[in-house]
Amino acid sequence: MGRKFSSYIPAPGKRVYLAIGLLAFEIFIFTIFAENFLTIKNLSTVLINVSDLAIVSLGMTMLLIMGGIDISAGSALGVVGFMIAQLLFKEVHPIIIAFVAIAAGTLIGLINGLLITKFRIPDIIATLSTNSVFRALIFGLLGGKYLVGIPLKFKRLATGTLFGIPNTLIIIIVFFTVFWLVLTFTRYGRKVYAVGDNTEAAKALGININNIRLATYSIMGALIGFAALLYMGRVAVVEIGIGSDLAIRSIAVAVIGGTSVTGGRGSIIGTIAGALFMAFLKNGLVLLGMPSLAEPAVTGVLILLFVGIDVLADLKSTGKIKSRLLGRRLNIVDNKSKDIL
Amino acid sequence: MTTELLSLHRISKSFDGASALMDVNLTINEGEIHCIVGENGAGKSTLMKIVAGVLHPDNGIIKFKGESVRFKNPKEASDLGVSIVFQEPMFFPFLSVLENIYFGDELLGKFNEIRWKQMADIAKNALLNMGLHEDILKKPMSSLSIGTQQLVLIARAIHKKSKLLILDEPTSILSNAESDILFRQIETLSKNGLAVLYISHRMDDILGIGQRISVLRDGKLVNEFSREEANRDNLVVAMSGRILSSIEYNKNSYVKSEIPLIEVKNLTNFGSFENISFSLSAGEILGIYGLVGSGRSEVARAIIGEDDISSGVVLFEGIEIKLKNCAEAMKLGITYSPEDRRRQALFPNRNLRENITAGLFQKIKNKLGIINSNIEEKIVNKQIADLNIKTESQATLILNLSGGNQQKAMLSRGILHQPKVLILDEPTRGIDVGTKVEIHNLINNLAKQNIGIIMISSDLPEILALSDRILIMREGKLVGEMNGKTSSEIEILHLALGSEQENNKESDVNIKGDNR
Repeated sequence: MGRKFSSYIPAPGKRVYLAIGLLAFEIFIFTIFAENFLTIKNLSTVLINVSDLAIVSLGMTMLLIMGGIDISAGSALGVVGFMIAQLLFKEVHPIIIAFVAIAAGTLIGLINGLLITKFRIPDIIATLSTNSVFRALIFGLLGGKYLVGIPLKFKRLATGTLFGIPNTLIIIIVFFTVFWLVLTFTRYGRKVYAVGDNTEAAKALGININNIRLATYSIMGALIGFAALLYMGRVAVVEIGIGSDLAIRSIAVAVIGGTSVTGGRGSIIGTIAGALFMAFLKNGLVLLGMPSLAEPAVTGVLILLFVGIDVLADLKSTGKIKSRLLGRRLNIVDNKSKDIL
Repeated sequence: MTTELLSLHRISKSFDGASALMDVNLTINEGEIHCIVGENGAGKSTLMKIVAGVLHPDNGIIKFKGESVRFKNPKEASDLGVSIVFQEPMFFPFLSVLENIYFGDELLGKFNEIRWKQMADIAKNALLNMGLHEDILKKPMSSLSIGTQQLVLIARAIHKKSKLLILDEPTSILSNAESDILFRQIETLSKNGLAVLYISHRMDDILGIGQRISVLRDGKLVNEFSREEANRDNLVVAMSGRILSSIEYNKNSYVKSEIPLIEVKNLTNFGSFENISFSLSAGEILGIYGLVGSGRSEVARAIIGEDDISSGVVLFEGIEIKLKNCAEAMKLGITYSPEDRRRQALFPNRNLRENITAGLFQKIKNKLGIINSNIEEKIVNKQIADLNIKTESQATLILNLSGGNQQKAMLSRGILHQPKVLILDEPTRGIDVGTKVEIHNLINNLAKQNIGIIMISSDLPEILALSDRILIMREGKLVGEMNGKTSSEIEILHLALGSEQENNKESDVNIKGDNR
């Protein structure tokens, strides 16, 4: 007895320590080798730049835990960004713009969700296809030009400070706290884990799998809508390549943070570590004078590396590699069970 | 004074035209431990799944507390107080034990937030009752042993304030200590009014805790005993006597060869089977009988190199072999036809021709290494004729054939490799009676062509009708060898179930009366 209250709350699992350790190691390395790295100015720039990635990564984490994925996140952000720009030109009130942006994002998420649940298209194919459609839509709307001179109504939201603390830091803290609470203390949150962990068992327990999927894809859409506001406040340009690396980077964030691509496992704390890791990585590489093309390569390698680590750890812990591959029923009696009193 | 809790009236269910349950009537009283026994394939698990809302009956009525109910899914059944723990545990491997216990009916606070601490306090007791340590609450399910996982799931079912608990072969993956804890817990709960439907083929379990024992055979309820009436002998007699297609096969007379085709010496794979030794001569049909979990298929899979071998040797034509996989086994001439056709043998989206010639490229290719479809067509036509496969054409999708014809296609795939040894795992499971006879004749003919056949089957009449010798396995051990011509169902069942052999005259009379 004498346990703390917190001890029975679902914990993020050991894998999260690897992410935090790696983040600490990264900060250590960049502090030594890049002289301008550990300055207030640089750190707050990094926090401002990471805000939209961090928000989208939250949704991506939930989707991956649920056994889903969203490849269309970046171009969805582009479509919403274009809408925001148009409304800003028309001098619509920012609050209304914010409302419209989040609603539009939610609608896009809902479309992905409906394709996946009603038409039973596999998640990756559905969002890969809508990604292509959204990208073409951005191209058509822009007509081959850049959209510049957009009014800076969201600049304060995205780059300002409150009592000397960057707004984005406050936003990130609030969002991550809320999503941690949702995933840990609500039935919906636990169902997200359950669906990704064992879909058949979840069905047998009477969970409406499709409703959970629809809700989670819609939440992802809403987060993309909000991230688009931050993006327009920070960048204020819409060009054809808008958000093109957002999906892959947010997947990297989640995977580095310990989220399993096969579903069932992942944590918000891990995703915080992953987001900061990715943000410092981009920043540090620039400070070290590395070509900006190096970043996508590093992202890709990191995803392969971390998914590989997780797969190997799974195989090692089960030790049933051959049987697993054959999909055979395991019928091994373990009489040395330590768990019996 | 007993109150009826649940009753089944004329429940019937069939799969693909094969009848699994016929007009089953059953009642379960409050606080009663009711055991259901029967051989593999007798319909026990199907019946339990119907009671728990996993399957839906084709016909018949289920009454719960006197009211007719129709469960759409297991959740609806569990809301009314009917919980099931499956033989193969179903759970969330990466979620904690605590979550697995509470999933779906979490305790909520003022803001609909999950009360983890409160749940943990209650769950601790549930675990303690099952003899488990509270420390495992936080561990993910996947980190526990299979037996512990099973106990956690039983703890889950009990803590839900169930009125009826269905346990399907719970002890098959439990150690003796774990089983004892389970039995004590079941008896305590039954005194407090919990009804338990307990499926098993372990005689000791059934006679130890059962207050009423119902026997299923071929999808029918054939007998019901009270605790006082039941004993090993009358249970075995009731379970035996499954209907055989009443055809006597002309048994081939094989000559026991000096060097056996296959000889297995002290083969062991810890946790699956131990000390298995036997030999097989050319032209012999060796039947292996055993109930689920006896390790039959595991032995076969170890011989062909698909499962590990801890110790012991396999000799093929007198030479020791160490196979890495079934491809090597096939090169030597050992072909295995698996139990689970759909998952392990068929290519469901391909047609009959491709399914038969799969893996046969050496024979159907031309000099350039391209498939010669003329040769392929001829080969397949001959197989269709020889095995009497009923199909519209070679191009018919394999899934559009009946289960029996699918199985014939799988057998012809094996035969085309011209094996010396053919291992058949449940060759006629889920197949209609007519096709069954055809497959039996085919197996007999193959033996006459001097192929050595190992036939694993849960179908006792089938084993008795075809085998020259019968090996009986129980819980990973070889417990008997019998002559296929002179042994009886009762003797074999006694060995397979692990009950003492007390064949008195009375039971012999009973069998004859039962055999229609």
